[in-house]
Amino acid sequence: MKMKKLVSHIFFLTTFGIIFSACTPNLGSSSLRGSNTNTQNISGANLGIGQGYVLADTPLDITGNYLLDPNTDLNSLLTPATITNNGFLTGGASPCSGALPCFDVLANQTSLSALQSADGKWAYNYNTPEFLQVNTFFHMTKILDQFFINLSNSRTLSTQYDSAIPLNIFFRTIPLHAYADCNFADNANFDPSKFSLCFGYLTGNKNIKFAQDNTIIYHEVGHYLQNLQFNLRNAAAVIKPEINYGFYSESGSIGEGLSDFYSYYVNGRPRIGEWATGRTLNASRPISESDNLHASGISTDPAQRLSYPQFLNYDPNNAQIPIEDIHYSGMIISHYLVALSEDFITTCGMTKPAATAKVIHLLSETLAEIGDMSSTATNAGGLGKINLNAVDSKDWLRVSNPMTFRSFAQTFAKNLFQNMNQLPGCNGIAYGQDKIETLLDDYGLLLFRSYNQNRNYADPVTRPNTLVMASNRKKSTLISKNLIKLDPTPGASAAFVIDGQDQITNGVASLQSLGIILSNLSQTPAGFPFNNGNGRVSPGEVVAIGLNLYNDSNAIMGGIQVLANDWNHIDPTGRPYIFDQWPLAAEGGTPAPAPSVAAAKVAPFTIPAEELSPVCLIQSKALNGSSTQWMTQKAYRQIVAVDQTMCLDTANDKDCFIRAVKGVEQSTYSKLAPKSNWGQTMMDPQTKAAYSLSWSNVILFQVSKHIPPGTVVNCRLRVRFSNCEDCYHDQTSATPGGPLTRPGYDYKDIYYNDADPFKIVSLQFSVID
Amino acid sequence: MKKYNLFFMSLLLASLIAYFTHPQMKKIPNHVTNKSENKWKTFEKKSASRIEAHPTTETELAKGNVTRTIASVDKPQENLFYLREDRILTGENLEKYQDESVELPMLNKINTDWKEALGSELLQFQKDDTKIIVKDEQHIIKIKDNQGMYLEKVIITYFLKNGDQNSFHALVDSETGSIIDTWDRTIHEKLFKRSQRLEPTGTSNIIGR
Repeated sequence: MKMKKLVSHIFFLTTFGIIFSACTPNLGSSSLRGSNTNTQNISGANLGIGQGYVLADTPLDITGNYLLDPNTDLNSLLTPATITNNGFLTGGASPCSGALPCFDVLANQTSLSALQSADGKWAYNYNTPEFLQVNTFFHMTKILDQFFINLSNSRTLSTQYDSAIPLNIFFRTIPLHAYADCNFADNANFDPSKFSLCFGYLTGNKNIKFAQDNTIIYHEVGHYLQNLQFNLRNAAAVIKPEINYGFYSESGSIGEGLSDFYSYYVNGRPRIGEWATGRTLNASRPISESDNLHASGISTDPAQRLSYPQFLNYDPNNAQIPIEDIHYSGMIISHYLVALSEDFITTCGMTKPAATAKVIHLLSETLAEIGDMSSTATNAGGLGKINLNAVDSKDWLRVSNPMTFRSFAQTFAKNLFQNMNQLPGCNGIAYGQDKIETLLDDYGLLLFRSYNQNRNYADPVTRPNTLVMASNRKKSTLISKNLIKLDPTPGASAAFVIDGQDQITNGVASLQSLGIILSNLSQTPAGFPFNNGNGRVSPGEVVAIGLNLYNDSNAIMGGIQVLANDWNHIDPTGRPYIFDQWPLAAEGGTPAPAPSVAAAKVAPFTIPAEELSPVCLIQSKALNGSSTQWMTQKAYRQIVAVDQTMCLDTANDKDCFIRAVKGVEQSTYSKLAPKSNWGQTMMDPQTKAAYSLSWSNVILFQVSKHIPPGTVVNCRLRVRFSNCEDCYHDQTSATPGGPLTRPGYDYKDIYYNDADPFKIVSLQFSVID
Repeated sequence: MKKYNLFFMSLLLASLIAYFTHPQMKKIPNHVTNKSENKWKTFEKKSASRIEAHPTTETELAKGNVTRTIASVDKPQENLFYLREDRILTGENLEKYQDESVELPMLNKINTDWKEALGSELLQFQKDDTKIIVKDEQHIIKIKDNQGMYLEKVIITYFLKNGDQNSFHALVDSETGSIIDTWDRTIHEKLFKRSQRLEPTGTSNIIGR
């Protein structure tokens, strides 16, 4: 009986405890936490209502001591600041209606509410979760207030010309949640699907939290702001575009560079991450060449800027070792934007806040235009001006024509020209084309021939397309697409194959959990039992293939992209077009349409299903038994009489036997040094150690177990790079050999479904069991 | 002892009152706690041949930060979207096909078990003890070449055994549960990440041109 009562009491106590702890608002506590136990307690006695204590900058920058002990009592560095008069740490619009943005700050994902102040003040010791929340709130308020005032001004400004910024901006009807004390090791993140930010801690020193470093807060909020800017024109779009952070990519590099710039935008300092990533990990990043973290030979001198593509793999903390990482390659963009801000100050007499606000306006214009899913690009634009059309726009931006250093620089330059040259944006002082192009060229970003104001197809008479002055292109190098090729060195491999079970199992699981894989792979059994690790393509395998590309020019190639998505290389009867004399007519080839066919196409653009063909063809005797032919997989399926239900995609027999897995159907390489392949480019110059491949460098193929062993396959991939002379510029003529029809113009979007903008690279192999 | 029990009962009652009258809790819309709507579902891989599914629990919602998305359900707004069959239209000729008297051939059907098929697809290649939460957001019809396709817009959250969490939006085929597209993927800064390195297993039988 006693036992029963005891159990009853325990039940009540437990229930009470759980409920009480769950329902009590997050009032905070003064309990200490962390490794430093000698903290001088903070008191709110001298604070007014709504005030609290914050780290106004990183501890290193407050003290000026870049060797500050990571275990220092930071309470001595806290300063009073206005936080909020709200009872909770909630900011922005109230209620959160969608008319204006709003946000709140919580301890972590399991917190029930934003932190509540018991006395209207926000005084906490630095090593408490409450301090992290207050500090995060303070710096979020700072950057968001600044940004949304600028955005409001952008809307006013955008009425003066054909702008990409819509007059009515819709904000999400929920708060942006920031979790200031996340249980994430060595990580901070922005989750756009949940609309949340998380700030974790360092495993090496748990006393250091990401939320103690204001520059990290600005950087992460910067990702949120980019998401907003990229989607300014997509209020009615079901599917939203995104910057590709999953792999190494130029769009991801630009995104990281922009986020770094957001830190400069708020605090005007030329470095990010001094405390959280820099103090113990040597992983902070400069935002200007004036920062002494840079290697020697880098300065604000025009000849010593951080230029593209030379510095794509440069980590200032370890300058001798190349690294392919979007955070470091993005420094080219952050440095350019800081240099531009400083030029606005010098040339236009702007204050620093006015100069950076102008840059943010230009970024809003640029990202809104590039991210437009409706294909209209600007408020007065018609269909087909960007990203092909409203149905295919997401895939177009993801694979066929993604944001690159070239496309970003071109669109940004167009907006710069519009705002600073054609409008009195420089306080009435001339800010000419020459100035715009000179600074872009200092950064190697003058990679385009025209500003593309008419977005490729409008009547050039009514809407001129300003050409870049060729004499301004000094550092920016354009290279012919024919100079990228498979490594011609005798004995060199054409491609690398990864087909081991462990590597593919881990890779597919990881890619799938990141939301990267867009094909249903269910035809392949779990565990990849057909993967035999023999380094060849075998029936039933999922196999990664990386090309051994070679730069045969004397300049650096940047932003190399290999595409294995469906494209227009098969005629409507199923015969492969002949490109580079392959396949011969006797082998089934048929002449490709002249470039003028694509040139004649006008918006709105649509792509008929028959103009989208998988990259891999199969060699077989024709159905009539005549000669050996190259044919589509659909034709081959009929010859070998495989039922469609046995195809990789039972609803589509176009790629019945082998297909590039959607989402992993492109590979990228940051750069290729002159006369070098990627391995040589990335090799450690001191130890000569190879830089191994990552998932951004390979394309994933799924092979049917029903493909007969010995089948010969040829996959026609398309390759281009960002500083390519003839991958983006339309050099076609109305008459063969005649004058250029559209000199200096960009290709229309529809071209990127064809061969012209690319170097075609074929991989041929037997499927061997 | 009775007094003891009475005391705890009173405390419990007070706690419950405090719980349900807390100002922050009041802000949570009813449909979130209304489990009958079954907007969330959890799938967990127990072994290579066993995937378990259950309505997502409050604890799982909290861990996955999903409770915080409650108000993020992008309800169809008539001023923003064209609708047909109470689904948001996307793609081509939306104005034309919002008129339900205009025939729209459909390429697929709605399968009530699409979420289970999706769960299997998402966990097929994952390690044991990987868990996912799928949250319905919107019902969609995508129109291309004058043909429609039923789709579901969802948020997928992965809970990996090593503690990592990834989320993203996805469009899913309403019949097969296959993923058609994804976006809004979590942006991790993760230090030391250096994406998984790959060692080639061979090169020999590929000829390039």
